[in-house]
Amino acid sequence: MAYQLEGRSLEACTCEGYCPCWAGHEHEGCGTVLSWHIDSGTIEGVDVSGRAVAIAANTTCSSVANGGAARAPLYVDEEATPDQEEALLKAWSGKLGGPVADLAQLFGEVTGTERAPIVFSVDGGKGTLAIGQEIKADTAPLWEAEGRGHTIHGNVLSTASGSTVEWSEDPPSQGHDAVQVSFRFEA
Amino acid sequence: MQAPANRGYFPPLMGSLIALAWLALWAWGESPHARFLSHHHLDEVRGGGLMLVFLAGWTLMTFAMMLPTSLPLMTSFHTLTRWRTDQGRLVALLLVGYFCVWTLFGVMIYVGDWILHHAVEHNTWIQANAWALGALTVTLAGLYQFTPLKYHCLDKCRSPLSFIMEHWRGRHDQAQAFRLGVHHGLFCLGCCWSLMLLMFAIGVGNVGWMLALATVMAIEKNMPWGRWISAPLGVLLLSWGLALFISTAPWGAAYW
Repeated sequence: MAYQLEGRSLEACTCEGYCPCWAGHEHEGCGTVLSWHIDSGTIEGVDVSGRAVAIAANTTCSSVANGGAARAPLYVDEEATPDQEEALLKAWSGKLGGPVADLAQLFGEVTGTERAPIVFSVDGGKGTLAIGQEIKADTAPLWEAEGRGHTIHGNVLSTASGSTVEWSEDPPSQGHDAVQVSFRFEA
Repeated sequence: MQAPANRGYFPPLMGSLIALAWLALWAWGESPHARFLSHHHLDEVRGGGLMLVFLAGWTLMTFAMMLPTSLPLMTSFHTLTRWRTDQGRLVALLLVGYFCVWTLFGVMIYVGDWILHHAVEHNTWIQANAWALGALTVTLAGLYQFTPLKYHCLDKCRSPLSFIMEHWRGRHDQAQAFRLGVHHGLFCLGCCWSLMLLMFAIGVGNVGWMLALATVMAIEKNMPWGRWISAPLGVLLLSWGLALFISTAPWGAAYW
């Protein structure tokens, strides 16, 4: 067994409407972050429970359609041991096959890891996703005011100046999407 | 890992299939066999063999109307699986799973319609009030636009990548591709069943109505502002339902 992972993922983007960028929808220039918090799991025998990884790309959507986003680093949370970091990179760069390798098709070439504090405190849609100083997505149920509970939320993506990822500065009322789901990956 | 030949051909292929389905619908509607497509004449397609004819027409119609609304999911899945040698089979299984749900819904409609006709024939009260069925269908569709279930399903449909992440778990790839299609089909059904039922109120076989409804459903699911048309559409349907009640009611006709 190459890996067995369970946890929660969060997809957030600055695309209009939902996050079609990964599917090659023709909206230009869309900042997207995909993150996974592994609640429990192992990769090739290495326990990676509690670790979080993220991919962020400021990408033109057509480039995604034509072969994945540009080279993107894999953010690994800074509490990861070297073994864990290596195992996570191996899985998320697609080398171990299975559903994670399918997802890796969206990232283009994963060039290496970048260690950063990853705060993943999103549960039931409310919370914060922060990757280092560079990326921050505050999520709150967009439709909460209407009394409906579900997992699509508006968020504000912001970034410190001079970072590698630049989010477009749209007003929060645009309701950019963040979608949180549970995952279970096996290969 | 990436097969260059795979790039870019998928959306045009799906587009052509959808266009072909519409063309077939139009040709069927123009042919001497048009009555088999029309739900107003469902009673003409009773019997085992004819049920298959109805289901063929129904499936063709759902293919033409529903596939465009689900293209983001299909395209995402196609992109994800492009490094696999069994990509074609997996995407095909996804499509089969998706349309199995719609075909089963067709069976339910067929049976439901049969029961309804039976009831109308044998129950004088229903017979006397059968005029209200059209207005009821439209009103039901209007009310459904305001239910939490509608929005729950719509949101699932509006986040294709996360939908795949939730359901695509590895191992048993073929069974999972089929199940992914079924799951997505169920949420689409949850989104759109009431709008599809409208076909019975307005009588289908009418390609113009099909196009109009398909466009509305595709906008609702795929456009950035699509979520905001659900409520106005509901209001529109409720008003239409009310107008139908007034214009078809035997006691209402006196006012006209």
